[in-house]
Amino acid sequence: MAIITNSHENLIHDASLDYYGKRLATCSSDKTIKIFEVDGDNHRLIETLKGHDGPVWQVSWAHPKFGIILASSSYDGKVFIWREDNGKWSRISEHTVHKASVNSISWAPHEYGALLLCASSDGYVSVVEFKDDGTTSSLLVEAHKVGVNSASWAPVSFTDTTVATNSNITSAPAQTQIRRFVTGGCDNLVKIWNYDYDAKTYILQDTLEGHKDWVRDVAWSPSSLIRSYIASASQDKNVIIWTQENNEGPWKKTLLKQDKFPDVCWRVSWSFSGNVLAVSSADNKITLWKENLQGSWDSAGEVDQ
Amino acid sequence: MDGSSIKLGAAINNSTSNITNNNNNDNDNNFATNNAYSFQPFNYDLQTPKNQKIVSLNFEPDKIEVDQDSGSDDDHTIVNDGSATFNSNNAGDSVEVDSETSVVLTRLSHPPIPKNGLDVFIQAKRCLKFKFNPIGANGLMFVSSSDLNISSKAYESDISLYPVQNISPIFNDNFDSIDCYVDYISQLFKNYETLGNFKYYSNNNFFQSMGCINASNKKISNKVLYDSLDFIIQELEILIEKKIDLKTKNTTKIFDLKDYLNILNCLKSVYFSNDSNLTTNLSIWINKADPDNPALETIKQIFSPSDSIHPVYRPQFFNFLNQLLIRGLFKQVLNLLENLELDKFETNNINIYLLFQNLIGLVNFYQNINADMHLFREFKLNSINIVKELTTTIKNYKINLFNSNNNDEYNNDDLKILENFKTTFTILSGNKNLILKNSLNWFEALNGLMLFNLPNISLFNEYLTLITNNKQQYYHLPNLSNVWESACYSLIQGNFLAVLSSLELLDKDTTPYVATLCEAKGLLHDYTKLDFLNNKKTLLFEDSKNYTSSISQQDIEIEKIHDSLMEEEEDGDETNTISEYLVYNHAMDCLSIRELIPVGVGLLIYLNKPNLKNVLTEFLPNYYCDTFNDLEWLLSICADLKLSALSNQLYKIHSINFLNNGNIFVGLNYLAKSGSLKLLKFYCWNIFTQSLIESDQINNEIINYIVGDDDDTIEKKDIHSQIIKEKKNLNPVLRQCISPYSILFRFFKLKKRGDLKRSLKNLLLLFKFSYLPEDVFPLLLGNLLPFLKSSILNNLNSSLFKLKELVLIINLIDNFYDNKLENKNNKIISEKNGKILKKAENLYKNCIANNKVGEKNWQNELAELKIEIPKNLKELIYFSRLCISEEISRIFLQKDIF
Repeated sequence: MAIITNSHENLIHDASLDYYGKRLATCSSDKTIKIFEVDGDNHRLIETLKGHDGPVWQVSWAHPKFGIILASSSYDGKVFIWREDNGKWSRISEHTVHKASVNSISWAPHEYGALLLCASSDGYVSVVEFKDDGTTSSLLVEAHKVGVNSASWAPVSFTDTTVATNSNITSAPAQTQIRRFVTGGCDNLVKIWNYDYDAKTYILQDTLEGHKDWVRDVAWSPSSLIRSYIASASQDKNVIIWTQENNEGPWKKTLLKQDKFPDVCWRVSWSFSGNVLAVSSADNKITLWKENLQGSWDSAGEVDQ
Repeated sequence: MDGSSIKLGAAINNSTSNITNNNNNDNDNNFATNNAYSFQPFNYDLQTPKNQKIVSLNFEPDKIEVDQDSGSDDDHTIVNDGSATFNSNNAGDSVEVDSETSVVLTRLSHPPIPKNGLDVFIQAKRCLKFKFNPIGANGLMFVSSSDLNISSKAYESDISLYPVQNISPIFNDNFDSIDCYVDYISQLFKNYETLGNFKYYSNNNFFQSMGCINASNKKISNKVLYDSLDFIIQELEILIEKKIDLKTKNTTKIFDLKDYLNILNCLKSVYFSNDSNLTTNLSIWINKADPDNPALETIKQIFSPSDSIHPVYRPQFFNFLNQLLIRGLFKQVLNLLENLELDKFETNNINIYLLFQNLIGLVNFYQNINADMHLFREFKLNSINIVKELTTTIKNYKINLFNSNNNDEYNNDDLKILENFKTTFTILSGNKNLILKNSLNWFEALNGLMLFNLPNISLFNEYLTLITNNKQQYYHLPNLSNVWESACYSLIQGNFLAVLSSLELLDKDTTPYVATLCEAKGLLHDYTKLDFLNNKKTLLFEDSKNYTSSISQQDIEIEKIHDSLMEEEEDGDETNTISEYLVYNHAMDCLSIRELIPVGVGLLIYLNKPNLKNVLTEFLPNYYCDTFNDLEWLLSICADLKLSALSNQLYKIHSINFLNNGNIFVGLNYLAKSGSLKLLKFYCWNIFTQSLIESDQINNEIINYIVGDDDDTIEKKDIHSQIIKEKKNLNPVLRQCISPYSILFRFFKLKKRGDLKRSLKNLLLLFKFSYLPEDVFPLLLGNLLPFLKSSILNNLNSSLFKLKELVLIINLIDNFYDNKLENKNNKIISEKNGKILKKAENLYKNCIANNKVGEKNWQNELAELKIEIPKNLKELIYFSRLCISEEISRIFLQKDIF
């Protein structure tokens, strides 16, 4: 794909390719969302979605089994759900439970159904469920009092009591399924939340202390093998890798880099196979990291401007 | 980057020579052609057992390819931004690497931050952000704000998106030769597949416990593993050559691969060979690994054109000859001797002539031994006998020389030759001391001992101890600063873990396959992954001791990891063998490159871990299918692993893709296979509705062929044979869902043919269908109108309807329209009815708005009668009732009521 110039009228805050890399959604301070069709090196603007009253921070594509569906979150405190039907885009739902900017949105693994996780500056995270009959319901959880900057779902995993077979992936709600997400906030903390099937809400499972300034981004590795990996990027110029064995027990903290990054770390992004981490830091570089055989992290590549 | 740079000098391995693929004996390249003693250049043809590829070590000076660039003039510069540049031979081609991490640095072609503008960029609260794409080794970079409340003006560079390609570790090492590297990995995977159960060491044990069949099976297993390692070596040689041909800028990678090749050749000869190919493989290893010896300079000196001295009388001749013998280069020995014009000795010095003949005879004899120990003993005996005879001859010669008076018959030169011959024959007899004395290094000595002392695999360690014993007069210590030499030394000592760690550093992607073979051979079966990591830890600690006196932070971290791994081990970690651990990591890397996804998935399947299904369920839906074959591949994986839910999910995802791309039938068929009945019904009714809106069959030949009769106008030749087959075996669920359209299709078809009665019959069937969506009712009603006006339109005297059919229509209209309008007591039902009527009205209006003038349909038929088309639902209902009343009246008048 070639460089896409003049895509928005103001700063871009997120860019996301769909499941197959065929559609690109971008969002901006100009309050719009743009959808591009991507074909090899070519791209074509196919839609500009309007409706938000503030900068749009993030966009997220739903799993293709739910159709062509995009979620967007904005400074205006709203989350919109957009759907394409026969080439026509329309807003099919609004989520307005938050009282401040919604900084991050993330669709759950499709096995859980159409669940959207939203993190807001009002200190809450919400999980919206889009049901088959077109109705929605949401759960609101106070996560970080000063504000939540980012949230990310864990991949599907199961408790040790049951061997994960194909049949129980679809048989919901399975008691053996662990439904978790991670949040990062302005209180410098990283928190792990787990769905309690009895209480029918998300319960705080672990609070991870390690950063000395705002946690700007958190990302749970999509790889569900061996151990869980979470990366957290912070204003304190550090990226921490948190690991947990077999979905239980304590979380182990590993600094991605012994020395601090030259500047603030803004964003962490896992490759889809979950074994390469990209870190966007304010020193104008994107660095790629891979775990080595000793369990520490080696630089695996670098993208410079 | 500016021009200021620091020269670092030779940083790249300068001991490595390129392997040439050269069988050329062109005389033009013969440096000794004008010499009195001409010497044909000889190639060290080292042919691989499968005869697939010949790698030659060429002694022609202009054929030998020593990396000149890897010497002190190598350009390896550090630039002021902390990155380093390796310059290749091609001017202007350079690879930028980060000086801290040595990873390849990728720069954007159109950087968003102006030169020297970083400070301004940061002060303006700008930052670069990056996001991985959901699939593949790609991502997007864009300028964003570091302040959520920013409202400053954005420039063009701020509002652009910068795609970044090829960011996986595999790409990183092979960025400009990825195609050949992908081919290479694919070949290694195919080789891995062919191993079958031979890749498990336990199977070998099983064979061993099976009494009389064990020897045979063990032999087969050894052969399979040998061939497999040999295949990897051949593919690695091909890869190196391709990379050289492509003039890859990452020359460091080529050196690493060459070192890797040397270690593999050593592994093959020491642990995978049998008695019959042991010495051959050992010679191949040492000669390929150290192609600079025997040195070219020696040949030049021996065949020096400056005087007429016979080469045999030059001091270097026997050293050179002995080195060739110790290296097992027998063809080259014979080649050398043939070029000496030995006939001259036959007349001048018969003793020397006979000794040369004896030597030729012994060398020829040795080449025919073929691991026959009886013949080997005979060879040794012959050598010893010659040595004995020579000892006597030399003794007599010395006496004669002492007694002679400058007699030409006895001279010191010939005595020296006799003594040299004695040394050579003593080496051939397997004398350890002389082999050590005449070897340049430890691996040459090892080869000499294995060739002439006793060729036996079990003696490797004994020989190695002997060679490195510094308490004796002649010994050779390995050069541990040389990567391949150090690794080979460890390998022969049996320290496989250290070797695997070295291999891992040289090339991560080949090592899993090599580790699998080592494990299958039983070389690693006493170790676990933890041992592997422990080994790495030990090495790291040892390294750190050399440089620091105290334990570093890294050591502490490693210690912590070690402790956690110990716990993991106790808990029964699933990936507890070294090869599985390496294969798993390699598989995950492969998943990031589309071309290698089948390799990654295949490896995961072979690993067959309990969570395999989880991984594939998560990953496979991500795979974009370009072709039906891609989807077939995905479905075959589901079938093999009995992932029926995933299979349904894949059908569903791809059905939607096909439907969106206009491939309606395949889409519907897949939906039926996925079991998504709701969606299938939705799309089938969509087709039905679309057809009613267009008042004609839909414009889709395949769907019309599927629902049509065999005598329909669609020519079978235009339809793909697969579709014809599908029609015959149509999925029953799809058949049921598509049947309303099938009737509608028949209605339009019969009407076009003028068969009004049968056409109406089909329309009435649809009216009677109890599962008909209510919103399409007005459209069906519209199509009924021309039949109600048939007396005028078609000049028919008798009605096409029976009274009971008209009564049915009246009831349906009442039920659809009046009942819905009247039921206002229940708010929910009322709202629901309102929605249905609104949707029905929209469809009806849509149909009217899209009417195509000139086409034969109900609207145009009414227009022919100057009847105004009802504009909305209310008018349609009113007009329909009017027409029905007229028709009933007509039936009454015809007295054909009952």
